[in-house]
Amino acid sequence: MFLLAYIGIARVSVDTLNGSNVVMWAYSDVKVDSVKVFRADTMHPKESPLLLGVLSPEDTAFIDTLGGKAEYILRTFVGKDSSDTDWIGVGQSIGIAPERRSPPPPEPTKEVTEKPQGKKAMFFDTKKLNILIAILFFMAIFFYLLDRARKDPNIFIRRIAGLDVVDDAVGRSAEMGKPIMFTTGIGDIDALAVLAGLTVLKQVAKRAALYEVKVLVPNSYPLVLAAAREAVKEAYTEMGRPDLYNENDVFFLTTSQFGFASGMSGMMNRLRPGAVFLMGLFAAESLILAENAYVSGAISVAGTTSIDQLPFFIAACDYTIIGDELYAASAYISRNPLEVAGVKASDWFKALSVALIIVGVILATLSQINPEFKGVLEAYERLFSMGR
Amino acid sequence: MQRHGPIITVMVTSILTVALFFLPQAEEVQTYLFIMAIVISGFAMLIGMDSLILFHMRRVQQGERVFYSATLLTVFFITVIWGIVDWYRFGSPFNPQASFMWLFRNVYLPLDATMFSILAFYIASAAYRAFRARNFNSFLLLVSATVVMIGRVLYAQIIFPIALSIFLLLMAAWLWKSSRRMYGGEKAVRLSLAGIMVVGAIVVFYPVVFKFIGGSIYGLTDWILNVPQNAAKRGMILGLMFGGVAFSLRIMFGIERSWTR
Repeated sequence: MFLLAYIGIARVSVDTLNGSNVVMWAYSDVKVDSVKVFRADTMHPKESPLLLGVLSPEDTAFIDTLGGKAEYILRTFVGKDSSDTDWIGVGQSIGIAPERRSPPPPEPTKEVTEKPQGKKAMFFDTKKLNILIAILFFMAIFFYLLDRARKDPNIFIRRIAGLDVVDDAVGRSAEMGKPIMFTTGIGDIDALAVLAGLTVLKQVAKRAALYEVKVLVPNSYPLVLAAAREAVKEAYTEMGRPDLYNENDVFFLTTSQFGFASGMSGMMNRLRPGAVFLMGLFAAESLILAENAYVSGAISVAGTTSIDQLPFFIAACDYTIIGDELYAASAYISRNPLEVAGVKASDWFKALSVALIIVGVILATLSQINPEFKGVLEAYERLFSMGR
Repeated sequence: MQRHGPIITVMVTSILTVALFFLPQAEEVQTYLFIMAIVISGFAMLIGMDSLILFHMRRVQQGERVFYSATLLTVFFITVIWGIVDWYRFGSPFNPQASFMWLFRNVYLPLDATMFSILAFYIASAAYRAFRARNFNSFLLLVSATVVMIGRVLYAQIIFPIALSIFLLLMAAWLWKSSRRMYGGEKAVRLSLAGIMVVGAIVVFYPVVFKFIGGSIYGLTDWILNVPQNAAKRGMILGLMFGGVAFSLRIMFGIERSWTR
């Protein structure tokens, strides 16, 4: 497959490395001002792809840590003009044929991204109207439940074994006179799982302050470090023990995935903590951390939203918080009615989606029995499709 | 303000980001926000470096695990200086011509690969602990994991019948030995039970059956992965998505504020 007139790009290929997808490209003779990398997958259709990064002309590769099955497109900018390459999947490469490399630089063509002339530009993307309605509907449910929680704070929330054990784990560490280790994994502050992990950290640190146990928090990203320091400091202050807080207990290790795993494993084996909490975003290093926690003799409590890592945690850890339980963790431990109302809202969303799935199943079945229902099914499908 | 500042900032930027999703005209604003995030994380790296250097310098001063901390500080400064020199000479330390790439290829990458390969041993030890038939659920896990493992290797058509035959022969031996307790030493019953297993083992080796079972192991593996496994996975993804939406709303509107003071 050969490129014909992509401004500035001579070659593009996508490969995999350690679970990440690596997009590599080479420039042609035309000097570009910037390059944008977009990703399309099941979550982000090609009509509205995910912008991964805006890169300078010096960059020739982009590592997409999301990995998985995806397609990529490069958008180059030369002055006011822009041009898109073709969509390219993992393991594919596209480039200009050798005989086409030397011709004079292609005239900057206005294609793909240029808005049609003479047509009024759209202010609101009407293709996304269904998403906006869904968001507003969710927000309405959310605020209704918040209001209800203010009036009646006794909200039922089911038992989560992995969170009930927090007190025991901290108590055990206190009895043994050993520290607790807590990490939010290898995600940056923009990962929801990391934010959820930080909320659990605060609750764990509160209990640690109560029992006067040291909490060690290694971090892999500086912004997470800053937030973790705030969370631990605030926890100690709220428990009336700011004197116990030591800034050096919350520290930065490295952004390197296996460097982080190596550093944490070393610490676990040297310090032999009483409890290890692995709550946040994890990738291939999850099992290394979980197994070292087991070897060090600590109670290990893990929780992550990375579905691929959950089996490792379930196999190797004493207690595992599965999937979205991590988002509920802080509310569960603190029992703050407003936070619990937020957890309840997610349950309502789930119940609603199950109801919608059941309706879809019934319509799909009916359309097989009676072709007249095909139109209804298509209309129903269109409600949930973007860009139709 | 120190308390409310971060919450107001989060509220404004998150609502703005959601709004920009629906406004195709505002792609530039989205790009600027993206660039701002990159710039902020660049500066934040200084906080990380500050924490790392101070932590290890303090340990060196206090004489606590001096060897590890001194090694880390030495390697850190060598890498930084080497990178800066090559950045000055080649425009980027990651230029293929730069000598910094030697350090990257011959020190960093092998160390990284070593940690990654250790994972194989951890998988073995974790599997040993997890795959024990303690109850019905763990028995199901053991059986399905064994089928998937065999189905994912080369020559599964040969390995699976052999493994099944060995399993049946072991079952025959176990029945012969332990059924004395269960059936009060009735030799005929014990013999017939063990015999069924032995016959089963032979049947599995019979070429036609051999081919049939060998051929279907891939289908069985795919079925386990695509039907029961995928069903559970999709349920979890659904829960994660809605849990994420609710959690985001909690953060956006300042209800969840554990991450700040």
